[in-house]
Amino acid sequence: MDNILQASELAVPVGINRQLTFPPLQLQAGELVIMTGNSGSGKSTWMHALAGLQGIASGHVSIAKHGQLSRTHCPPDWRQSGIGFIPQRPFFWPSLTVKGNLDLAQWCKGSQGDLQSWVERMGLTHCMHQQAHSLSLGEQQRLSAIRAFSHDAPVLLADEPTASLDRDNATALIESLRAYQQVSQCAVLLATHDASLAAMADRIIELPSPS
Amino acid sequence: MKALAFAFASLRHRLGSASMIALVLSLGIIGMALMDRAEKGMTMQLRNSLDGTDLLLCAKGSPTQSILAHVLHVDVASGNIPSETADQWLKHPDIRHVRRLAYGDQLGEFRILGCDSATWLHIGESQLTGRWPSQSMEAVIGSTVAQASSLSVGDVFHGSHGMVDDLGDHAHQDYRVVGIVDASNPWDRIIFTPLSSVWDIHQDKDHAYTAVLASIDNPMTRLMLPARIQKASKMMAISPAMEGNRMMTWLNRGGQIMQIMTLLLQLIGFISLLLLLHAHVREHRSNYALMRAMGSTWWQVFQVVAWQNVLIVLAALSFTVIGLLMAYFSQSLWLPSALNIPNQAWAPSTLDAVMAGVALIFSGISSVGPWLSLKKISLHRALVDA
Repeated sequence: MDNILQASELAVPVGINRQLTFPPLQLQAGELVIMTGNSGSGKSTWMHALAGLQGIASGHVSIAKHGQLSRTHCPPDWRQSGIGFIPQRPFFWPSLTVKGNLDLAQWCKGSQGDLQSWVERMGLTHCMHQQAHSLSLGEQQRLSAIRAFSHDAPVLLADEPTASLDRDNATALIESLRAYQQVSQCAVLLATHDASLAAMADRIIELPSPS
Repeated sequence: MKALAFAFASLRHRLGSASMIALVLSLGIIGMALMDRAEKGMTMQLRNSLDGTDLLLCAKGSPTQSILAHVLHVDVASGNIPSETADQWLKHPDIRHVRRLAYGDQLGEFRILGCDSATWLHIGESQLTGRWPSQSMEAVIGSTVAQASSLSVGDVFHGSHGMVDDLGDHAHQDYRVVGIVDASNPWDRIIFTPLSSVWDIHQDKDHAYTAVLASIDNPMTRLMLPARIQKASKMMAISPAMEGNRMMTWLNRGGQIMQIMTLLLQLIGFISLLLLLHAHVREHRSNYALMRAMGSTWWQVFQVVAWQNVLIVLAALSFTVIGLLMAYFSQSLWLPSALNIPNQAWAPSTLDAVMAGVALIFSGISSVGPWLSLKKISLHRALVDA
């Protein structure tokens, strides 16, 4: 199977004269890769570097477009980066409803895709006109995931999205990611501390503790 | 327009502080706009009232008070002048259009003004309902008087001393309303009656005048005659045009101080606008970082940031319009009628457009700083630290 994301050994500056170095990474279409590691091992940093949110000292990231791997810049051209991102903590625009936040995501990306089916599948239809901040944490994370789906990105990076969720909500979220993956055939890299999610993964990467 | 909607949502989140800044900004703009209108209105009023008046004869006192009392009818007269002496001077060959005035009593807050037919000719008949008085104890009332006292043609009333009835009245001597004049300020608040009415009621056998207004044909006489009268008589003779200019100079100085204060208010408003946006982007940098992570361009981020400032300024301009409308409709409550700002002066002016333009341009420019500060933040840190 072809790689959809390919990262060389990335070195990320984390303070003065200090770098974190990450192993090479390949992600394939439809693959769910779980990244684990202790706190401080650099899961978020690596994920942000892959997403282009964090500057890198060396290395490169390539993402497949039209079947061709092409190297991204850092910071990348966001609209072209081909990466959807679910942050650890769901942020929502102040005073915007669920629908408003989804509109914002689509406006940012410039996409017109229909997210209604995902809203229905993830049980948020009833709260489309509620303030996003008034949702439960589980609902907020599901909304955050739907927002990432709006990118139609070939790669989805999820930075510990289940960290604040109970078991049921965490499982529901991962199942939703799986369902989306089946439709979109995107590659998902999921950072988590939750060992119970490992059973759902195609592959597990464990980051070593920082020396 | 999506950017506008997102900016509006962001402002709703801090409605209190945003409204307060809009209010401060609007107070500054209202202050400037009102000063401009008051100055224009005052100039128009004085120009209209002094039109064709080159000489004012009255009892000695303050020239400014005399203008306010005898031309604008908003102050009390300083006394009477003997008609014989005045008439002597009025025989000067260059003097034209003499208007003799004798202050009578009051009807409530409205002044009864004894005057000769020259005053009526000066006002004209185009907006007169009824006729001008032809004999003593007939009166023509201004439209505001008619409205406030519910008097109409054919009704009778009597005057009283001063502003309140208990100072004594002339209940036994009724005036009959023979006309209502719908004239502009200050005439709409005056009750006109022949000089003889005032003299009869007060049993003034000397037929004293309170003031005489006249025009002078010759520019040299216009310049010299007031000084000659002053020197040779006990009357005060002033050139209303010169006194009017002096009054305007003082008013302009006062206006300049007010303008500086309103400018300071605007400055405070603009600085607050800048600080509010800075505080907002600092507090919500994670949201802007996420916008970038979701694929937005920096131009989209700028639109959302800038629209917030523009919306605050648009709110301030809306408050300004509301404030000016309130000032327009309530001016009779806070300005003497004779000093009310004429309608022409309330029309939108170039200064209004300039102030609105400057405010809008500043709202855009002041968005650049906070936007640049967003460009400098680490998206990684903004998301991790949130």
